[in-house]
Amino acid sequence: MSAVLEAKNLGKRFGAHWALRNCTFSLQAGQITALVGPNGSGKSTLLELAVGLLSPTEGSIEIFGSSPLKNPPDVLQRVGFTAQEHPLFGGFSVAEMLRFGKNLNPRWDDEFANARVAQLGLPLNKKIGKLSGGQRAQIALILSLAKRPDVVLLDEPVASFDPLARREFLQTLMVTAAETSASIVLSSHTLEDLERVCDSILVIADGTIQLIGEIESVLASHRYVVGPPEEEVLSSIVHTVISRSRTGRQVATLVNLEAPLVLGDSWSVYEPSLEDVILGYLERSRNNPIGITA
Amino acid sequence: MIWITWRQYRTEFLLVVGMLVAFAAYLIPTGLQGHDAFNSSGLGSCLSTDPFGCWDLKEPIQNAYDNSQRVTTWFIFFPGILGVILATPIVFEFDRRTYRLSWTQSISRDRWLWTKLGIALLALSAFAITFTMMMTWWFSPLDRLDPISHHHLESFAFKGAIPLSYAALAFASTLGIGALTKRSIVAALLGLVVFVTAQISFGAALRGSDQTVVIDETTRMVRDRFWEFQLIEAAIVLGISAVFIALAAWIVKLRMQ
Repeated sequence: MSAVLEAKNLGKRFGAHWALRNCTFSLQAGQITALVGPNGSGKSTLLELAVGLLSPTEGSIEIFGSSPLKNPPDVLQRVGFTAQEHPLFGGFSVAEMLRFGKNLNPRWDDEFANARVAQLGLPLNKKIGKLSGGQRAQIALILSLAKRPDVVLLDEPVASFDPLARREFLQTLMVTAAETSASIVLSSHTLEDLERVCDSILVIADGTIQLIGEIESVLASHRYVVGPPEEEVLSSIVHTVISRSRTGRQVATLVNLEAPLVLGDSWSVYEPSLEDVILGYLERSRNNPIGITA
Repeated sequence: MIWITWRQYRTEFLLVVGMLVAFAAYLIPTGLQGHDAFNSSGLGSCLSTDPFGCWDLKEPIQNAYDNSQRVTTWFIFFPGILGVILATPIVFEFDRRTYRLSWTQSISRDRWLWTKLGIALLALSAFAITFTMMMTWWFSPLDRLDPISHHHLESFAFKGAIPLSYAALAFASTLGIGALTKRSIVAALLGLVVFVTAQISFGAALRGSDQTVVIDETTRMVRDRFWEFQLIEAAIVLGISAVFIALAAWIVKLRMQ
């Protein structure tokens, strides 16, 4: 079984600026992966490279073992992609937008598309331009899913949503994922709700991958260690220190465990939340812009 | 893809049809007046026997066209506007960034581009030829005065291959500049600038020499040279159009990645 998405030393330069560099990773089938990073960190660049809207400056990226640039129709019919701000034709009606999907995709599931539109109560003859932002995002998602893809790539699908709409959207996404067994990658600059939805996480900052792994194992391998500042020399030879912060007379250190923790009485250990871990890595990338692939 | 292209072009097609209907509404009554003036003047039989003895008969025909030609001069912009209008639905895809939707369906960019170009250019040809036929009919009484009056220069840009080739130039330059800048307004304005510049510079360079020929040569020679000049000018203009199309295709295929 080849990887859903596999990048080898992937890099993309715009003029003098590297938007993405030294990215090597592979995502296995059947996972829901959150692609997390601040705005401008390279998330969209990575997803657009994956679908061939951009070509790599160096390295390669493949979907199911083939390049989206060399075999666009073969690769693209297996990929449901929704670009950032979910572009659609504003002058088309909902029905015409679905017909667009049907005409251009051999694996199109018309029944599914119409059922989803009916379920959401979207009027078929309403113009796309007259729908709300959330409704447009739903249509864009339907267009991606009705292709019956093996992998769905969604760039900031919930960016413009209020918290309730975000939760509903992610729930429908989860249900669909379970129904179709498609792999899903969704990017987000906010961490809210992602933990409940995703199995894996890929943290990107400064154009480089900071952390990749299954959420469970990421949580299991990171700890907050809090103790007095004079004993700050926590055995960083054994454990990788991700970030440190002083709070009053204490120092909190986020570490990536590489062996069981052995600590004196003055130390206490806490399990970090996923958000804590991600923020720790983002902080590290900011203090140390070269970035290290975890 | 054909339905999608048709759907995306629907408004633009209707707009162009509307313009042609408006032109027809003006050209038919004034053209009929011109044709009537010609038929009732007896010029037809006079020209076939002794062309240079018919000077007195041409007066009513020229009178019939004097006022309306002030209006139809402006129709010279139609091929340019036609080209720009038919290029904008493709340029909109760059400007509104919907190419990210179109190019991630299960078809290649080549098919996307060439289907759109094929349908747009087919429609452009049909509209330009309709326009050319209307104008040729409208000008025909004046053109038949050839040996004794020189209207060839006035009607030259409305006849033959000229409207079609300049419409193609406006289309191609709007498309090429649109692919490059991804700005539809900039592309439309620069497309019109290219069209007007070409009309003025080629008008001076190529048709300027036409004038002296028209005045000096006999009727038959003028007709022969007419097509020669037509085809030289059309070939140059279509050649420049092809460069712009190639630029757009190159950007779509390779640079926009």
